[in-house]
Amino acid sequence: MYRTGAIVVAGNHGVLSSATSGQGARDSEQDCFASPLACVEVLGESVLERTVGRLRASGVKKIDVVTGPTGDLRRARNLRFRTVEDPNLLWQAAAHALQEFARRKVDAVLIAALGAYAEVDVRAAFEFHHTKAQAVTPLYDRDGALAWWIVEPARVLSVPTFSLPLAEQDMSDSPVPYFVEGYVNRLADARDLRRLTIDAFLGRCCIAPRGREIRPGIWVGDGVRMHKTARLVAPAFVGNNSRVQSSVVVTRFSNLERDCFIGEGSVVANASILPHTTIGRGLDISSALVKGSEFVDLSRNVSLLLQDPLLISSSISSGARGSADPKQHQHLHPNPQPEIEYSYLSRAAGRLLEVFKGEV
Amino acid sequence: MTSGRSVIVKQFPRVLDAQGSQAFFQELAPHLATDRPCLVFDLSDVRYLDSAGVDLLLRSMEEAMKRNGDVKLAALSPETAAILEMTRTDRLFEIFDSCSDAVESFYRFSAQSLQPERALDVNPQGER
Repeated sequence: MYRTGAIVVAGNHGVLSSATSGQGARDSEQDCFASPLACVEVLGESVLERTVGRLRASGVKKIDVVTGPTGDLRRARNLRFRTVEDPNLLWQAAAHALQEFARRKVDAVLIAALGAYAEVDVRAAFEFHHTKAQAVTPLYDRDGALAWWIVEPARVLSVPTFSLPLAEQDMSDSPVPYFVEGYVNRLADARDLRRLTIDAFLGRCCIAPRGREIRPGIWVGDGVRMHKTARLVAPAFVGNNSRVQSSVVVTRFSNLERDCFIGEGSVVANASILPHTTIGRGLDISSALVKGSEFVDLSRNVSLLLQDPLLISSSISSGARGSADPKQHQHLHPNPQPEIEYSYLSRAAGRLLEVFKGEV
Repeated sequence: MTSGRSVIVKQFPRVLDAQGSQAFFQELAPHLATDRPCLVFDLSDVRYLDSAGVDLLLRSMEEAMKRNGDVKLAALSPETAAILEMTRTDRLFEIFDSCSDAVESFYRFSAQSLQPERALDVNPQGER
């Protein structure tokens, strides 16, 4: 019997680092590591969770996940997590996991660096590796190497110079690569994450929104509270326990992930609002990716770090952010700002209109 | 041609949060209190702007408008542009790439306003 396993390494850069860091970006390095793109939810489930699900569906039972302290990652059952505090130690932890697979006499291990979201036919890839009888099979797509490999633990660990991640020059016998024919998104930056969302809405990949399709092209999760005057224009997604206030418009392939709060009158167009994000009232969020207090303007390729409840803010307390224990999360909305600050900015704009009309 | 009105260019600080905005508005107040104040806000250095900073811009414009003046913005950093777009305040201001363009715009407007016969000639064909 051919025994297979997988090591999924999710530790690439996060949302903020992918664009030019702008205001208040001094804390971004820490935040980035806490939330790599692969751990960010897209239409209700992260790339990491979807990859693990795909591996399980292909019959891979033993899966190790190596990641940073990603507090908002939901822990799948029967999944072994190796959490490291220092991003430089990710691959070292992956190497330890590989040694353990070798001890458990696993024949072939898929090492997947997320990084890329790839719809790989895992069974076919393992079969290919088995047929070629090589120590390492790198996975490629039409744009080149994917940083995914299938390795035989016993063989690669016997090489004294072996280290992860595998470099092209380390593979002495130039192995035959396996070409992935399915959908691949390298998730190199925030734009890629946005593109993944749009591709999912358009059915270009196998990502299905996790929610009920209440109208054609509109998916809503559990516990969503939406004002009757809020408008969702298909395709759109609203994740679990999100709150959408009056006169909000969500349009142009936008997704609000779980536990979001959108203040009244705001417009979300061609944007992804990631979990635990509070958007203030009367704002215009377009061509953007917002995660808590991190705002990436995709049209200007600039990232901002704000913590202003009138604009954007995180609904997780700073102590709980980046924590490995999801129980530590405290949900601070639904009422993110005191009533006295209600429509603060729009009132000022209203006064201006009066000045224009000469009423003052 | 110049109208004789002086345009004041104000360089904004790097951080415009609640505290910074309050202090900066005190600095702006004398300029805004003049007759027909013409101000250009140079936002090239601004790296942090929150709702308090946006409110400062709106209050300044309001005060200037009350006295038949105007406030124009110049040299927005991408961060500032993103926040102004998010708060929908970008459409309330005239925004220029450079301070000199913004200053010139005040004089251009004044020069045109000195030639009312051309500006008001809505029926050049003489049709009735």
